[in-house]
Amino acid sequence: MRITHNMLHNTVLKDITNTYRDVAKLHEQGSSGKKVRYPSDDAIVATRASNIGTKLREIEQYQRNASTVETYIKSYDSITDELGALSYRLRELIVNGANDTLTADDRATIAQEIDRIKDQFIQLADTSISGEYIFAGAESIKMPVDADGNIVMSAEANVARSVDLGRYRFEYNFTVYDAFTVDGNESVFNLMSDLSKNLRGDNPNGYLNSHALEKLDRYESNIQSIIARNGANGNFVQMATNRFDDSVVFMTEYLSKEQDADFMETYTNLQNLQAVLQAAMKTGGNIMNYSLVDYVRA
Amino acid sequence: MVKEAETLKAVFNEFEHTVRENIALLKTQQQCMINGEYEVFEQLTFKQEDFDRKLRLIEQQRAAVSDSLCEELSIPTGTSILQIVEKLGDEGRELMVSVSRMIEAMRELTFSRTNLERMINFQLSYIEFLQAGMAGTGKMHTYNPAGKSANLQKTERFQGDG
Repeated sequence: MRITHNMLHNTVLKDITNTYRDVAKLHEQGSSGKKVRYPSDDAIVATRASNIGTKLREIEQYQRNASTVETYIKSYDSITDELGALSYRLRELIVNGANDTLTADDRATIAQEIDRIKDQFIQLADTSISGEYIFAGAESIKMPVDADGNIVMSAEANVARSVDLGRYRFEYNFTVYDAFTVDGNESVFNLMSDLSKNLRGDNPNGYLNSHALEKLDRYESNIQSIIARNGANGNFVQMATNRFDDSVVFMTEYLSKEQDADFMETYTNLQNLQAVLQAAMKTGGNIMNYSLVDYVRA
Repeated sequence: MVKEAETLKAVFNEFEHTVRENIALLKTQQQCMINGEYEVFEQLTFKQEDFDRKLRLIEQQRAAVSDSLCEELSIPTGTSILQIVEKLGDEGRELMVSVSRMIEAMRELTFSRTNLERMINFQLSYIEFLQAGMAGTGKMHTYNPAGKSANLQKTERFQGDG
């Protein structure tokens, strides 16, 4: 074939045009910092980047959710600490009040201190964060306990509040019925009112030595259980936060570099992790199925 | 105390000791989950399997010793510990203390186990969430031997049937 000048010209022109296009593309990538600016550059990577961008925004919301829950957990933690300390003082006062050598005035002084402790309990029950009462369950904008120590929160509002953490519904709250009642029935405020009334009465020892101490025992064990559950919730949120942080780092890097090698490695790692976790779920689950449970319960 | 009752008490103590060790392991596993140390976590899962086996053996031992104690006391085999203690009278007090401690340990074990399961369930659901983000589907599926895609989920981008 004879190569004409026109053909040479066209070829050179085409080469120049292509080179210009490549230069322009590189320039665009340089300014945007992305290898794939338009889906036509690499449709698969572009789609994936778009998916990951969406997930990234979702994870950022989960991070905010976790941060809110963390605030609640810290509040519950410090409040249950205080409740524990106040209960301890209450125990001392009950034991002290049951002393036969005390005069009526001595007992009245103890009753006054119990009234003050009751006020502190009420304040703790009505703790709020950003206008939300943390022990009020579903009625978080209403005080759960009035100034006299009556639980005014409705029984219908006594529900677990949950938040979405990575598509996992996480329940984190405690209500007044959890933290301020004995076995979920009698309010701890009533217990203190009865204590105060009995101490001002004629013969308080019977009530103090049997009923009051026994109820306080059960209340303290209730508080211990809340401390344990809240501690476990704290661990859970810490774990979730760490996972969200890891994902944000990976996804941000992916979006800036768009490296498929990293993507496949991460995807494979996730599949391996899935297998590891599923194996862990299968172990240890049978302990409570043993006949031993019947043996000790029957 | 009759010899079998002493042996039974020793079995309960061993059970409690093993359960407490198991609780410590579960707590370490939880910490691994928090830190994302999955290789260590996997190794600990093997240890958990050892605990399962050990507890099963102790339970078998418990059943055997308990039955021989029942024979000694002339009560039906398989009688519950509360009835055995009642039959033993004052001698059963120490045994009851061991049982109470063992039950307390079992409660703690259940609590730790539930917490770990909750963490695992979160991780599993989060992995699915990440995979969906990466693949644009619930799972990144390939084609099965029949040439049809297995379980491809419909998404905004993919509306076909595989």
